[in-house]
Amino acid sequence: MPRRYADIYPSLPLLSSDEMEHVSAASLMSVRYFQAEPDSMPEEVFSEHHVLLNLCDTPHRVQNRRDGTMRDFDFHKHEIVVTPAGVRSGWRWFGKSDVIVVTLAPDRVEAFAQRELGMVLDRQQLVDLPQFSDPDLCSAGVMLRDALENDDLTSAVMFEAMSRVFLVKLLKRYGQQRPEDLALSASFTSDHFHRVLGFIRSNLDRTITLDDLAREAGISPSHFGRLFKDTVGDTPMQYVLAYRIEQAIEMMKDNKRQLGDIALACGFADQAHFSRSFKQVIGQTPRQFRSG
Amino acid sequence: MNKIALTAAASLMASTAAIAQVETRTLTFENEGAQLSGTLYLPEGHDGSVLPIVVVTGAWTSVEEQMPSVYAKEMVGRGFAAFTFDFRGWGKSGDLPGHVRYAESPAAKTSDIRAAFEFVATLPEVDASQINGLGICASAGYMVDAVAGNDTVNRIGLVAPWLQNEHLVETVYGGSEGVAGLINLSRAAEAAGGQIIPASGPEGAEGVLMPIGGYYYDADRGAVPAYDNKWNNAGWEGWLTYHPADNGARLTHPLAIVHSETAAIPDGVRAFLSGFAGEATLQMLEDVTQFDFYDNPEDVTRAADTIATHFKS
Repeated sequence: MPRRYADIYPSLPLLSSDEMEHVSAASLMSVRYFQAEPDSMPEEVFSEHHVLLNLCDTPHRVQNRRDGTMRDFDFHKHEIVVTPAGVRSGWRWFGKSDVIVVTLAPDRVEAFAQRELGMVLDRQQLVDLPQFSDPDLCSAGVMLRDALENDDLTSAVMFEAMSRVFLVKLLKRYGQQRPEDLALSASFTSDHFHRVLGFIRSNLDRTITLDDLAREAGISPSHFGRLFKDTVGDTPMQYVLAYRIEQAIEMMKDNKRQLGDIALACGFADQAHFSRSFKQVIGQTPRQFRSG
Repeated sequence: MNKIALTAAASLMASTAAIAQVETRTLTFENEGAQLSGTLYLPEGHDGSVLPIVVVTGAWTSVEEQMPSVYAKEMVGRGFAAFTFDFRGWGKSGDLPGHVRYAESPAAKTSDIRAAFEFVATLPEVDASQINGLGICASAGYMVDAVAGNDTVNRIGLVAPWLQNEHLVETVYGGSEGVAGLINLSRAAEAAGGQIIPASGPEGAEGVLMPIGGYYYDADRGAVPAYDNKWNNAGWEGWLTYHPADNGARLTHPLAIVHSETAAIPDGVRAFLSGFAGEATLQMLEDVTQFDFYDNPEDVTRAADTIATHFKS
């Protein structure tokens, strides 16, 4: 009986996304962060894909037994080990670890890859590329970890976007892409996404244009728009609207706060623009929503 | 974060993915010596290729940030560029001759729409062979007159058109005595250099053009900061003697109308169409009020679908 990784970790994760129930990218992954003293994990067969991202500055010795084969190697910063679901795997590490672990539900990842990226993801592809170095993907993982750590600062819409950044960057490792598309995608790193999402958060109450965001990312507006949509699933301005509505809903919990004030605080031109946008997205006016 | 928030997040993003977003640019153009302020609407991330365009105009007393903006965005979502503007004497645009403001002048507004068509034809983002006009409420009559005989324009659409004739004017404005009284008021106001009253007020208010609350009075709807909320009594005569329902025969362009029996004077549409000999599409929706057409998302969507389909024919 394949087990879940959470069942047998020798130490508790410092942070975990398990408490979150959601759909789309964030729903098919769990994110955990460990700084664990030397220890081991017994061999088991697991039902989830396991992505191990090494953040530790100092290379340290680790052993990974996989389907009967033992690998003893030095684990370097930014190295990533992928263990597909169904593989019998066990670990032993000899130095203090500093890792982010992302586990993925196989069926849902395959559905996501097919529906969102138009790619067929086969388990064998994961088997064939078990380890690689990718500072950008680690950076995406750090973005998720930090989002979990700063729970009170993170919006669910932003977390979903960050989850998609991570997942899309991971999956594109396994897809067939034209070299020029690969180069373009690679030029738009997790750090760029992080800056863009940060800009949106910092400028919530102001007009945000595509040019503003492209400037923050350091690429042309047309390339930025396409890359953002390919990764996040929304165009930049559609995403900004989702974030504005989400934050407005949060502010509306304070029943004493006027809708007009909330509209301006969330960057809507006026209360009517807010009311109409809200109804388009949510299906009710803010007033109806508040009284419901 | 809690579970509901995260589930809602993905739903929010899926919902917004269905709503096209626009980029806007403020532009100015001239008519009869005055400068008009307008807005060009393009799809988010537009690559600069030419697009068919719709010039969108709004109701009496309105500014471009009201129903014109709503429909402009809908048109962009359906593959067009769009252009809105403030008429002379309103919003951010210059004055009518004699420094007159807030007077509802059919002749001036019709002339402004013609100037807007000529202006958009010069824009690099616009396919000058595919210029369309969309008139909402009172501007429907002005739009018809601006399009009639105008080779620059391809097709015309009207939403919730206010199309009156002499009979309907008397029916709405208190009979021949009521109309005569308003015309006298108009002349007195003109002689006095203008007399400004609020355009909108709560139900039953006095000294207000529209004492009915609703769209123009509600901050959630049309009472946006840009709205002048003013009416110049000097405009009554021009308005009351304007009979666009009689002008169907002037128009030869393909026409689509979306209206409702529940909206303003549907008889005006019938009168207009009885004189129109060209190609017409009429969609009469049920239980959609005049104000619903201005901003209610479901009704706006249906009206915009019909109009956009017509413009693409």
